[in-house]
Amino acid sequence: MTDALRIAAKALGFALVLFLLLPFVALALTLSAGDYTAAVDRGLWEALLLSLGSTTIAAAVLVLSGTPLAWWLARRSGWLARRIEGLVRLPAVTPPAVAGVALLAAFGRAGLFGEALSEAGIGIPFTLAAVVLAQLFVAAPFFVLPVADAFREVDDELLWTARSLGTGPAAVFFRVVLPMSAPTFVGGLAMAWARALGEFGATLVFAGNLPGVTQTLPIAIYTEMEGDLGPARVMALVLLGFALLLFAALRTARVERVLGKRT
Amino acid sequence: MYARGLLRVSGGQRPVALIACASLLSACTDGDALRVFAAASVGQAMEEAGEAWTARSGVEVRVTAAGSQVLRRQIEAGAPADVYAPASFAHLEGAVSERLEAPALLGCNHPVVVARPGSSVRALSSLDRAERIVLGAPEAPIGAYADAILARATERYGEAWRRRVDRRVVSREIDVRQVLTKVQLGEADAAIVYASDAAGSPLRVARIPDGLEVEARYPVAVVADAPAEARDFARWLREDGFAHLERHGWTRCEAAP
Repeated sequence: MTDALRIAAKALGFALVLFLLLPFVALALTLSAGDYTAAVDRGLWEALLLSLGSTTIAAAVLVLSGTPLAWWLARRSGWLARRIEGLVRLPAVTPPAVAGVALLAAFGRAGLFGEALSEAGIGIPFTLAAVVLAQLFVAAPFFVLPVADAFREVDDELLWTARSLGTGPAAVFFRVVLPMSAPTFVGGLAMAWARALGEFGATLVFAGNLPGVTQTLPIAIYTEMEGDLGPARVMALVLLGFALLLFAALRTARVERVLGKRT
Repeated sequence: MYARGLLRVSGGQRPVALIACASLLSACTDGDALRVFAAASVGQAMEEAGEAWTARSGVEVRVTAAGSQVLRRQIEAGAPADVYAPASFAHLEGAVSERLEAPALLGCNHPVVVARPGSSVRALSSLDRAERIVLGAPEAPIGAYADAILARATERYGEAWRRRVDRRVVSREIDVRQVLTKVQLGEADAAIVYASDAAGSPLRVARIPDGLEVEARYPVAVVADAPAEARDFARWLREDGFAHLERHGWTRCEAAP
């Protein structure tokens, strides 16, 4: 009986793997000669560069602002901290198109801060800044929440011991907390980066679609689908390839070791 | 209906649809309904025409409205459709034509300039006074029409006018609905959309001047294995039923020369 159960469980798990893998295999198999050149003609590399550049900025901003937020969330357990944690979770369950509309409502010309921004000579929609903001908005929960959880896991006594040995609070954070949370830190960053790389709905609404300015690879792919599917398939595979590269790079970067050396 | 949307199946789709219906416990009373795949721009008008046809003939009409190119891929992949009404004859060519009977001209839609009420754009000639212009992507029908209009207008209004217009184009949106939304939200000042999209919106609408205008010709085609009711509906749509489209800005036009 348990054997049957084990086989059934394995079969179900394997079926899921097949289901997840098949579309990608099909995507690659349906390519035809000439699709690659067509994709390059249609601005594949320009869009990829824009995607990599904008997501790098978004990831950097996320690490710089998300790490202090995660630490604060980990150290507090009060009403306010729990509410703020809930708020950080919101973008993850918001449909991307709705996120785009919400960003417009806040930062658009007709939005809440539109008048103040345009008086200062700042117009955010339809710019690279809008692309980055959209990515930051949708990706933030994937970094902040797991990292806050990892910070909570760090044993308080360890922190007190370090402090009692004369280590300053900043040194404790960088030499104890961060190295101990490194795997989650890197994993969360990878997930957030991947989410930003795949961002489509919010970007389309908030930043629009102009090649070389706001046309990221996912938007280029969707634009291509208006015409022939071939170039769109090539672009999709390139995007997937770079997402995989990103995961691999972050996994092998061994941030925990780099950080750990300082201890 | 959701079961249909979830499972795009080919050929003998009805048994599968029935199984899906049963398993999802959804109301599956539309087994005999006519399934009309209509371009996003014609969706609203088609819904109204469909209701009128149901009242008239007793045959239920179910409209699926989406981008013509999306519907085209779905029909090519065997999606259950009886009538296909894309935004352009170009979407009837290629693999999709193998599943369709000979198409007929449904009617014409006209690209127009729309502008925010507060902007200084009053016509195509003053499009260069907009701070931000949005157009359709060149790959989308409305974007291709806009490019054609701008190319002709450049000859009339000059290269300098064209450069000013090009400089102010902030986005080439994926479909006409996105184009219109950007102006309605106040994020852009002016755009080129279809007369049918502009109808009923609070935006300022300016016709494209004579000699520069282009006609968007909408076809309608019956899917090869569709029931006879599909042919009746398509014929009625081009005759008496066309009133429902005219109300939304379509016009009757002559077949292509």
